[in-house]
Amino acid sequence: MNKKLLIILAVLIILIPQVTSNDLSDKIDSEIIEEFKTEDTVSVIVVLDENAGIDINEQSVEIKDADWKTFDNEIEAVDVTYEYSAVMNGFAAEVNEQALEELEQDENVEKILYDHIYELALDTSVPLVSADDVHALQLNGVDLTGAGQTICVIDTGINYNHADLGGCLGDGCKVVGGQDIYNNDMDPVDDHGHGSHVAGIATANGTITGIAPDANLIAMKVFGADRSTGASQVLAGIDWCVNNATEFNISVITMSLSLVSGGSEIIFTSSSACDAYSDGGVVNASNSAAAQGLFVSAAAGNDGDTTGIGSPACGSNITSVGGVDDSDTVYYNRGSILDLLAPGVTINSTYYTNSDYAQMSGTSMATPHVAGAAAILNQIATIEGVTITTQQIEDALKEQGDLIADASSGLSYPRINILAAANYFIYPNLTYSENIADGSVLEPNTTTLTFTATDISGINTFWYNSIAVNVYDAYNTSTNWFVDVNWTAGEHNLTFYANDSINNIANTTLTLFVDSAPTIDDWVWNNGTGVSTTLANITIIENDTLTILVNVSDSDVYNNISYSWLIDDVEINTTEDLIYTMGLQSVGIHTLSLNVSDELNQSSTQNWNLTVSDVSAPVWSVIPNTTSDETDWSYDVSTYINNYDEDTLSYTMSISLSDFTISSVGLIEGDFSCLTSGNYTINVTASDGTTSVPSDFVVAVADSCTSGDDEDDDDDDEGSGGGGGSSGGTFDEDEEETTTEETVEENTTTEEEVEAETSSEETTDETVSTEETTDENTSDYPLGAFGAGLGEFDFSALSGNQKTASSIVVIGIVCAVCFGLLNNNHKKKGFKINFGNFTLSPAKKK
Amino acid sequence: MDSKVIAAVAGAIGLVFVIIAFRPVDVSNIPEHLICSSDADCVPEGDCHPTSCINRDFIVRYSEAFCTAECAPGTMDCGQGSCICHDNECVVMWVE
Repeated sequence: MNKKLLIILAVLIILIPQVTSNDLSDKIDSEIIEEFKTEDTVSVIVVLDENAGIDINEQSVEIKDADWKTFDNEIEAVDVTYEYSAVMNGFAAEVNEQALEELEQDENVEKILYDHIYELALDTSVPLVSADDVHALQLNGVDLTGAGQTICVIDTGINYNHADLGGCLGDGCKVVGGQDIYNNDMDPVDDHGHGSHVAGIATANGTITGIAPDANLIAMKVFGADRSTGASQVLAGIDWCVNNATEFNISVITMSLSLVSGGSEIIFTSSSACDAYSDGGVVNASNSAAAQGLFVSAAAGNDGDTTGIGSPACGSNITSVGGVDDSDTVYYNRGSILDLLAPGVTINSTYYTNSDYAQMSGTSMATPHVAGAAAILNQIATIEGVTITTQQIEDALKEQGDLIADASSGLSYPRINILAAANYFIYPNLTYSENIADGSVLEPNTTTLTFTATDISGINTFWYNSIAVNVYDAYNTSTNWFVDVNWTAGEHNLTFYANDSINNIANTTLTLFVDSAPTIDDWVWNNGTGVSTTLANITIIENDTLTILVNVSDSDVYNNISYSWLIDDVEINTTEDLIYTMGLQSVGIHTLSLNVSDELNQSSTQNWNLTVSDVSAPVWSVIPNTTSDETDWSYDVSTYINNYDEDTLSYTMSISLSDFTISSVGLIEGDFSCLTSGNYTINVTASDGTTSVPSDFVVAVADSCTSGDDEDDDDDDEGSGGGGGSSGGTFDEDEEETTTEETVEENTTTEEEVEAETSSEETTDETVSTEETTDENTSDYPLGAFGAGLGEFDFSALSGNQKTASSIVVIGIVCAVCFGLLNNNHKKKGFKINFGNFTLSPAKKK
Repeated sequence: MDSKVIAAVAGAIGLVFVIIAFRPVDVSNIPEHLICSSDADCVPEGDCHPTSCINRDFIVRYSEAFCTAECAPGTMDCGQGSCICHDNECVVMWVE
């Protein structure tokens, strides 16, 4: 054979399997390949061509093509478990590797899928509340699984034949008893599934594991298959549970039910209102059962109210349960009176058909989580030989729960943490007084450490490890233990213990640091000119340098000292000694502080009164005289003051006229118009806070009232103007009188003019009104008010015809919009109008 | 096309719209207890796990009952559906 042909053939032989194997491997899920590494057979789902068919034999299968012909393709070692035809064409089977290869090669096989195992949802909710961790605990050699406790389930009954629920009814069975109150017989078998689902969450023990898998059940069937019942049936169930509590060791009642009216749950925002509501006595009966020692849990309801919960959960002695999903998102009813949260979304549990399971959601599912938790806590109390109240159980679940924030209600609620609650019951609760927190730094004095220890079975002993300090006294009351310690400097690690009556021991460890603050022993300032230690006052002139030398000591092990110098709480230096130059504007009394601290922030502070005196006073130069007849006259005198040491200056002024002011920066303002002509002296004073210096100047005023006439102006011209200085100028008294009279006349005239103007305005208003009326009649705008624009639109100003026309236009636009909406696929249609037996409405869409 | 013809056609279309939009609708084929004019007329029928709606005027009395507290599929539990008035008939609007 041709050599080249041989080479090509060899290459193809090598490549083709790689290509085809890659293509074929696309048919098979990788998990199948992986599982065959450890298993001989694997569960698979085979997806066939939609037209293919199969003949199923025992341990083999024949796959037929679209013509339903078989070509000797019987595949051995295929144990078919399910055949699918409606949702897909294929089958599920247990196969070995050989069968897998043959399936892979069959052209009628499209895919071979791995038969994934879906986690049963109860397996998610049980770990979420840490119930599985509790199951791993033992107390006095007993597993904490609810053994010895019985939960009374008031519901649709229980499928006691289900393997996970014991498989039987009566003595020796998980379902130890019950009654069918709804049908008035003795067989409480479930005919719906709800009760079996609830029972499984609380106590299932088989394929799925409930919260308290070893707890027993009582089935109180008060519902029929329609899951609706009356108060009398529920009451009968509660009554039976209480009456038979001792015989069957019933410690818990669980009620996954809610009071409804008109299809909606009745919501209560307070327990008092709930207790007072006339519901046929169910809340009262439930409260009574709790008061008699039975823990009663009830569903909060599902309507999604964020301010309240349903009944009977709202009862004052009843523990209400709301729902969360696996990510602790809150659903269903909640509010300030909700007690607890538990998983209540997509919970898988036992069902009313034997060996079946179902997924359900609602606070019905959350409630039995709490019932199971209560059973476990009751078991702990029984093992410890103590009696606990239902309130103690509720408090433990609340206080030890994981707080879940709910934005919708603005509140947080505890989602049960059964492990934390169990530990709370098992071990003493030992805490130390809050004023001595772990890591505290204490002075080396005598300190009393106070501890509080409590336990449901009482505290037996309290003790501490040996500590290298002088414990000179220890004493206690029934709940508090006191340890008096005379501390020495340094770090101290202390452990304190308490045990209960069955020697469950709790301990708490404290790490405390004992340290004293550094001390400022003495100081010297300005090269010894200042006296040390006892003098707290320092004086210095502005712009001078302040020098303070200090002696600071810290004799204990924590002696890494930091320094902080402050003037008026502003830090100026962080070195041990202070060398600081005062500024020019620092005149006055200040507070100088030195704060010294060690590495544990133990600190001391020394304060001084720091008086800074002025260097020099301000000096005036001559303020020039001036003239004015202005209404808004101003004069800045600050340009004539010499402030050599840059102190902050203040100004005052005196003048015989009113309404003249001087600002903080020396600007004088006033009104010289219409004043009698003459010279006006203004006295000013500048002060730097230490020294005040006066000065003055003159303002000469001519008679220059701004509302005067020419004759008045002529009179002014005849007079002499003002002179300079305080003693200069002439003053014509006659002229002043004339001017005054004229001024009075002018004022009179002015008032008349004002009256005339007022009258004129009124006339104008009338004119405007008239004009408006004219507009209405003459229709100045093309379309009535529309033509004037929206800002000028006045519907009431339109004529009758104009109003009709405008209305038709508006209605036409609205109709067009409605018509457009009618043609949308909204479920809600437009408006409707009732006329007796007929109704006008948009036509039904066909 | 002549402007008058255009105006006439537009007017005719508008008139047809008015007639279609506002023609009376016969409700005689709707059961009396389901007739409504607004959503407020309609309430769930029955107390527990309702699956239908009814005009509130036809509820003889507002009874109270105890119901199991699960979100039953196919019912209006847990916000899965609500009552509305659609084409003058009380119906359930289901949440997808």
